[in-house]
Amino acid sequence: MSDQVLVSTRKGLFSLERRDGAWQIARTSFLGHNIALALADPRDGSWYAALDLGHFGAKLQRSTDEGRTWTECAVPAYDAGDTVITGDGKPPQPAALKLIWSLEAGAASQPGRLWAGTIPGGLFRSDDFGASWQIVRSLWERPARGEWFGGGFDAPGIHTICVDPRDADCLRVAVSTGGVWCSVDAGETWAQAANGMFAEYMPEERRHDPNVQDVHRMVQCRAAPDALWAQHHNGVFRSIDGGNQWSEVANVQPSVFGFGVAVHPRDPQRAWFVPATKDEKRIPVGGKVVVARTRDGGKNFDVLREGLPQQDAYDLVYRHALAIDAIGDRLAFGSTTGGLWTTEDQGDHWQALPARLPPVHAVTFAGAH
Amino acid sequence: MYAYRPQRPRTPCIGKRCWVARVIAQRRMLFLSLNKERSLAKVVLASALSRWLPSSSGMPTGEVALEVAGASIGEVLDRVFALHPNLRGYVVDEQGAVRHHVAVFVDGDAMRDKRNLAQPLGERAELYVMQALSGG
Repeated sequence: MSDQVLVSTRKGLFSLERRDGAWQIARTSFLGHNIALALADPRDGSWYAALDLGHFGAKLQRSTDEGRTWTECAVPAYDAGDTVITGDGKPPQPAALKLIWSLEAGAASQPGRLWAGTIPGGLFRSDDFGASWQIVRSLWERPARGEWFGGGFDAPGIHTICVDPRDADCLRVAVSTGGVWCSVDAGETWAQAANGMFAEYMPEERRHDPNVQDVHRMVQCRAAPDALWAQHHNGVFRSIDGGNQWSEVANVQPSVFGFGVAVHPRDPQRAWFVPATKDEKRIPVGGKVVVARTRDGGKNFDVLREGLPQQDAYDLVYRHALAIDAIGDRLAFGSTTGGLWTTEDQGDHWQALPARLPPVHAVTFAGAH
Repeated sequence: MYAYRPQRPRTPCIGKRCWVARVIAQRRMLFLSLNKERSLAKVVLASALSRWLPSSSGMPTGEVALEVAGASIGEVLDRVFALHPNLRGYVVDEQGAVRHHVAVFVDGDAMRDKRNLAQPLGERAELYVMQALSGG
């Protein structure tokens, strides 16, 4: 069971520890600076923090002592001549790193291997703990990338990288907005893997085009890796065959709209969402923060609210701000208003961290796995 | 050569006095190009930038001033980055342009085109590299 949580916020990285039955802030890093996300590498216990310095660009730092000290790493960089072309009519732009939007570790057999997804849409690989990065050209140069477009940003971005626990050369990445892409050869070749999703926001003739699907976040069940869940811009989708085909899960309560999703590490039928009023408003339904949980693959949902604010609450939970630990009983989520809630019983009861944090961008568990 | 001096806040140059100063600066630039003479430029890094210098560099906190040779903005910045390699990514993006929310003032005037680092410098030019307030 993980006893540490890394909370990436607009004004710093907060590491929480569980002591005497409660979560407490143990350490702050980069106080005052914008942290996009953090990764706790289970292979060697190191932490990575992706900074989003508005003036000075995206940066990456690594700690091998649980946040006491940090060392700057290299960041993914585009080559001269790389161009961002989007399918929504924006003029082409020279590609430059805007944000590190996903960061995942390779297999235990690949020490030093990291994958980074970025805005404006490139996937990068490191084999030396972030000291250097190479763009995965095979994905960047797919003609289909020219049809991607930004989801909440001017340019598209890779926000999810799922490294298959059975085979570290099998990758699935999700793009906002650009569907889902799968590689079985460590990124040498790619295939679109969003069939079955549909995009209500597109003209009728494009709605079922896999390449325009706005997947907000995708997760893969560790014990049953063919099971994937996706929170999409206009609903929830599920695949049980590794992403070859997706089906809509239509009865998420109280709303199908949201950003984050978590799947139980051992039970592929169990997933969590933090719903919000769709689309144009993006605020909790009725001013009540709730978590929707299914235990039967989406046939039925529990609306969980014990310990969550139920009146005049306007918290939104971003796509990386809902996390589950490696055992599957502990979850945590953080919100745009700086709230941070945890559960020890899969969401039946929630406890609020006694702090008013800055707006939360990402949450991840660290520590024992 | 490094120097640390308390720096007076800089404001952009405006008005007739500044026009005269610009004419003088332009004539100096012409003299230098004709004589192919390189002089030292002073580069001041705002504290918001200098705080990201590695602590191992031994540089003090706060504004940092350096003197480096160079006949253009690009030459001068390259020499600064040669001394502090990690600074490059904080000031310019990978396409070589000064970042959107970084401002470079040359003798009180904002650099003309952030993509054109070949902008020539006058004798003993002073560059001020700071975070643009447009970035918050």
